[in-house]
Amino acid sequence: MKLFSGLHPIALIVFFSAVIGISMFTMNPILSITAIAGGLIFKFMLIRDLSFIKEILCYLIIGLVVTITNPIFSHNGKTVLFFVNDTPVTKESIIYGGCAALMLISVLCWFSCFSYVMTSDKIIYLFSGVAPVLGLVISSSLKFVPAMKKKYHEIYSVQKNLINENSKNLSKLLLAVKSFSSLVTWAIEHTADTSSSMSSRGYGLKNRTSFNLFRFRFIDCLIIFFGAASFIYFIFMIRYENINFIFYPEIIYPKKNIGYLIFCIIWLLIVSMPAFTEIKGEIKWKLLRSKI
Amino acid sequence: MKKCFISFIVAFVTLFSACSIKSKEEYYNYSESNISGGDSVTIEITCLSVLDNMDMLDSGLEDYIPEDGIILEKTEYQIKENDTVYSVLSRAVRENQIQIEVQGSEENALSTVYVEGINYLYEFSCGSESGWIYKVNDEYADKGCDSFNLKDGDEIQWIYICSQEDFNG
Repeated sequence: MKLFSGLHPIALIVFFSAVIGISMFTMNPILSITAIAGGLIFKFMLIRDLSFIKEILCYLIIGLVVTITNPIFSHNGKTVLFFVNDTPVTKESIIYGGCAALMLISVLCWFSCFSYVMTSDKIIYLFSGVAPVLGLVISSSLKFVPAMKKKYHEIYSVQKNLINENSKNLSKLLLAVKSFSSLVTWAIEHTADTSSSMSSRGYGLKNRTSFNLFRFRFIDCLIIFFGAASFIYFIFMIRYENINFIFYPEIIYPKKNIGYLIFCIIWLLIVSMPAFTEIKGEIKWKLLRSKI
Repeated sequence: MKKCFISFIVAFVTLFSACSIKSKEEYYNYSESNISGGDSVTIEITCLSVLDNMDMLDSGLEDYIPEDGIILEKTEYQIKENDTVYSVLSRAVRENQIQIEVQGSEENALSTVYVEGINYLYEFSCGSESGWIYKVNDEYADKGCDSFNLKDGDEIQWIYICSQEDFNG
C-alpha cells in the first residue's frame, strides 16, 4: 500500500518543496520536532524495515555533532556556563546548536522520504516537457550513490573471499582500497555504456514520450493548493511576524498570537498528512482483508 | 577493538588536560599583577551610532544597548612594555565583565586579531555595514589592534559604526 506515493508527481513535488522549504528556514524547535516526527513515521510506513533504526542512529550522531560544534565556534550569549581556555561556553550557543541540529535532521529526514517517493520515472515525467536532460541528470544522480554502494558491497565480498583463499595477510584497508579502485573502473564503464544505450533509445529528446499511469485527480488539486498556500503564508509570516526563536544574546520565544497559532496548526496538518494517509490505508487494508 | 578504545581514551584525556576549565567567578576574579611604572593609557567603548539607527538593529538586542551609548566609560589603565590596543581591551573587558568575541590572528587572512562583538553587539548586528573599529588619539589606525603598540598618554576609543558614513564623519 503506497497511497501517498500514488499521488500525481506535480502534487508530490509541490508538497515536498513546501515542507522542505519551510523546515529549512525555521529555527523553531517545536516546528522542527513536529516535522521530524511526521517524517519519521512516514518513512517507517514506507520502508517497514530494520534499516530504519540505522537511519535514526545516523540522525542522532549528526545532531550530537552539530550541537557540540556550535559552542566551540560561537561564544555569544548571556548565560555563561564556564570558561575553557578563557573562552566562554554559553547556554544560548548550545541551545542554538541543538535547534540547528533539529532543523538539519528534519530537512534530511524529509529529503530521504522525497528520494524514496520520487522514483526516477516520476522525475523524468516531471521534467520531460520542460528540461528533459536536466530530468535525466537529476534522476540518474539520485540513483548513482545507492547503486555505487550496492556494487561496492558486491565487489568487496567477492574480493574478501578470493583473498582469504590465497593469503590472509592482506589488511582490511588494502582490501577496501582495492575494491574501491575496481568500483571506480566499473562506474566509468557503466556510465559510458548507459549513456550510449540511453541516447540510442531517444532519451533526452524533447518530443520523446514515456509511458505512465499518472492521473490528475481532485485530491492532487487539493494538495497543490494546500502546499502552495501554506508556503505563501509562511513567507508572509517570516516577513511580517516572527515565528523563529531569537537566540542571542538571550532566548526569546516567538509571540503567541493568532497568526503563529494558525501557522502551527497548518504545519502540524501538513507534516502529518503523509503518515496519516499511509496509516489510514493500512487500517482499511486490514479491515477489508479480515472480511474475506 | 581494545586498541581503538584505549587510543580514544588517551586522546580524550590529552584533550581534556590541555583545557583549563574555569567557572564564571574564577574567570572574572582576575587582575593583572605586577604592572608598575608611570605609563598609562585610557580606553573607552561606545556605540553611539546605534542610537540613531535603532530601526536597523537586530530584534532581541534592544535591551542590551546602554541608553547613553557608552558601554565602558573612559578608564585609565597602566601599561607595560609591548602592550597593544588589543591587550588593553581584553584586560578592560575582563575587569568590567563585558562580553567579547574575537577572531584570533591565526583564524583569518589578515593575521591580526579581529573584534567580532562587544557586549552582545556584533558585526552586522545593526545593518550590513556595521562593526567595531578603533581610534587612537582620535585617529583611525592603519594596523590591526594586536600590532598597534601603545605609548604613554594614548587615548583608545572603540567605536561601533553602523554605516560607512559614520566612519567618514
